[in-house]
Amino acid sequence: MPDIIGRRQFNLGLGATAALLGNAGTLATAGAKAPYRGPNVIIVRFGGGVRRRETIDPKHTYAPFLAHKLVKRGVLIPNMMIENLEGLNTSHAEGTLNILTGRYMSWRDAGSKILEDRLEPIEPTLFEYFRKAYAVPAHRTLLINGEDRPQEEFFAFARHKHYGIKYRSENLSLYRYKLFKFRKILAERSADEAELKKAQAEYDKLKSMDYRGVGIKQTRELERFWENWRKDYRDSGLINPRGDRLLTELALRAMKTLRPALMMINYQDPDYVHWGNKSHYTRAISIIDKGLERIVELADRNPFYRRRTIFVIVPDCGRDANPLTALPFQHHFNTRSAHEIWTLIFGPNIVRDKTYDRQFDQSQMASTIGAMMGMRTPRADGRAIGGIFT
Amino acid sequence: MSNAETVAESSSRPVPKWNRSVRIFRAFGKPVKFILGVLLSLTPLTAVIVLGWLARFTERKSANYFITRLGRRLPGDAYPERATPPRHFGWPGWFVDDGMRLAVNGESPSRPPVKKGVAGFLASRFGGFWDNLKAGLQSLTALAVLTLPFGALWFLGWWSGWQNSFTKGYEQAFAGPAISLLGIALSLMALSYLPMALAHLSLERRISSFFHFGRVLKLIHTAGWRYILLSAAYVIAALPVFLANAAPVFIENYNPGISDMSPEEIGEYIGAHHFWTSVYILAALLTLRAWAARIYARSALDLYLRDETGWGDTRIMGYVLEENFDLGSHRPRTGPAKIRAVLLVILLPAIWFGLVAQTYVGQFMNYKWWNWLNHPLVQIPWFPPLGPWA
Repeated sequence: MPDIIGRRQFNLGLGATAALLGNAGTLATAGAKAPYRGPNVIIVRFGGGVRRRETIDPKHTYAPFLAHKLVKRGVLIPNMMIENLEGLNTSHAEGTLNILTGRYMSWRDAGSKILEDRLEPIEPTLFEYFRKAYAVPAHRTLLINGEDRPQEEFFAFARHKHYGIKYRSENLSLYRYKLFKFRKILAERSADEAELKKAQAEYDKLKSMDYRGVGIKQTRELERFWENWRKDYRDSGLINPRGDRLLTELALRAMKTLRPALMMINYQDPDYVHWGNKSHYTRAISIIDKGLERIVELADRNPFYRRRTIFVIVPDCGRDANPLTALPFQHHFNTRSAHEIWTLIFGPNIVRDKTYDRQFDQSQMASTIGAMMGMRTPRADGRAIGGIFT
Repeated sequence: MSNAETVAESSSRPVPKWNRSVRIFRAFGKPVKFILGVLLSLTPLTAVIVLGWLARFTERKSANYFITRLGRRLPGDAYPERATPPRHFGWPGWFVDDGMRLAVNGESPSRPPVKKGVAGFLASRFGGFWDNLKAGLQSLTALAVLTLPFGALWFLGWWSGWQNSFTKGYEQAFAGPAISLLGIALSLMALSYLPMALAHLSLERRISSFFHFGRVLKLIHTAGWRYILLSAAYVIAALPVFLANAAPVFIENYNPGISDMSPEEIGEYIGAHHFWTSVYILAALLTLRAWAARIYARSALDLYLRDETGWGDTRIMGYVLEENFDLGSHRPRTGPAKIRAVLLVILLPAIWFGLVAQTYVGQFMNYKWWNWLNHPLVQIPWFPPLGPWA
């Protein structure tokens, strides 16, 4: 089997997917927008920045569910790389856009500050390819984002003349919930004057963070989602799960109520190791692993997802393995280890229990996911990975 | 017994002829002493000896200041041997007692009492080591009392703040930053005080003298802009130490082959880096301590000549009076005392904030918990080697 697939293999893959699901008319053709009946795809960004050693290396892993159980269900590609290009930063925003667009440097700087990048994708994302190819409402394409990197909220669509905001995904995040919450508090006017003033100030501050003019209103389905969330967790922000556990909770709820066909979960907490505590890195990996276990377990049980969901687990970037530092887990210094990542893909029509030990590139993820979902990704650079489909 | 009535032998006496070891070491002079100092500063325990040696070095440099500036003695001296100009003090010995002492109030005659037997042998061969160790432990104790509190607050503030951030403890988000700010405030006061206090301790040889706040602050005030320049020199001299710690994170950019080096090769690299950094640190400390010694001596003399109470009782002035230097040509500094005080209170903390900033940024680049508690130019002159560490 070749490492990358050409047009014939791509169409064979689409046909195989369609045949598996018993829907002969689901190939996306130019000009037609059929309802989507292909496999659901859940992309797990195992971030922010992890090394192979602490994740997929069975002897040193802090993610035992991933390294011992999940690898048996699909194809592990232990040797995926982020290309070493001039000006390319091995970091979270860039890695996420590499995955979503299938191109390196597919962004422009929209006013970054120190310790707060603000990137704007200029090439279409998987969400846009998907919603342009199929008649899929926004709430069924979801980007689930953490609270520490709100700037990645705004990767739901690109600044591109043929794609763009019309085909954007929806977002689930604390940022979105707070916008909803403060809007409700101000509308209800049930709090006292001091609280209302504080709520207005917070609301204005959150609105000002929207550096892309996405807008604050979400779809009716998302509004309902947040209503239910508010009923359970109320307004203090002190009751709901926190950190990466929050993302797991949002993903689980979304799967039960919104049923996204394409969902990306931006785990992030391993990045806390920047500040000097190694246990934050290893502990965060374990928390993501536990979250994965819950999500996979739900997907195995839920009739909408059972046997119709492909998981794509891939880090945004690696981390250093610098022998000269006491804590060698940074990732901004262009080391080889920071370019070294991996990917695990499992689900229907995917080969099981295989380690595909050849070198692939992070920019190939978008085309590969496109092949899974029967959609073309014309602006993606990397070609789809072959040899993983049955 | 007054200074004039002491029968102490002065520094102008030649080295005792019996001390052949001293002659041999003197022949090799400063380079050997410097190399020995670098080797001793390679471990934290032996670096305490270097700390003590630097205290004795400071003491001698203060005395040399007077010999240079006031070498002429008053006529009609009661001691004919003082007809010749006094000889400058050399660098103290590391192990051997070179027999040179500040003659003050009859204590510590320049020629140590000749002991017989094993005690005598040990005293002559290792008396210098014992003096260094004693002085080092004194300095270490004083520095620990002054600097460990803020160092501990820096460490705790950083650790607890990031620990709380990782666990998303919103309820006590203020704790880490509050502790850090308190530590920084204390550090700015302590660091502004430290160089002059260390010089005073080196001369007085009593731990309690480090905490003669009134005297040390008067010395600082009298020194004025000279002390401001010295403080700035400390912060600037710390930059190469910062770079020595931080630059290795970029190592793969200028030495891509390092990730393929064997552990032995990496060990050699680390060893060389440690050695040359220690060379720089010792050289910087010799410069800074010599400068501090001159400032101290000049300020003490100014205060004595201004007839300020109690300065005649200090060891440095005891030495000056014992040697019968001609003080008539020296004019004590005067000037706008209040303006000087205001400038010192504003400028000194601002300058020392540069060292605080280097510490915090350095910890982000290459984290080592020890670096919260110790800076080689300020406390124990030991640079933690690169590589995986505590």
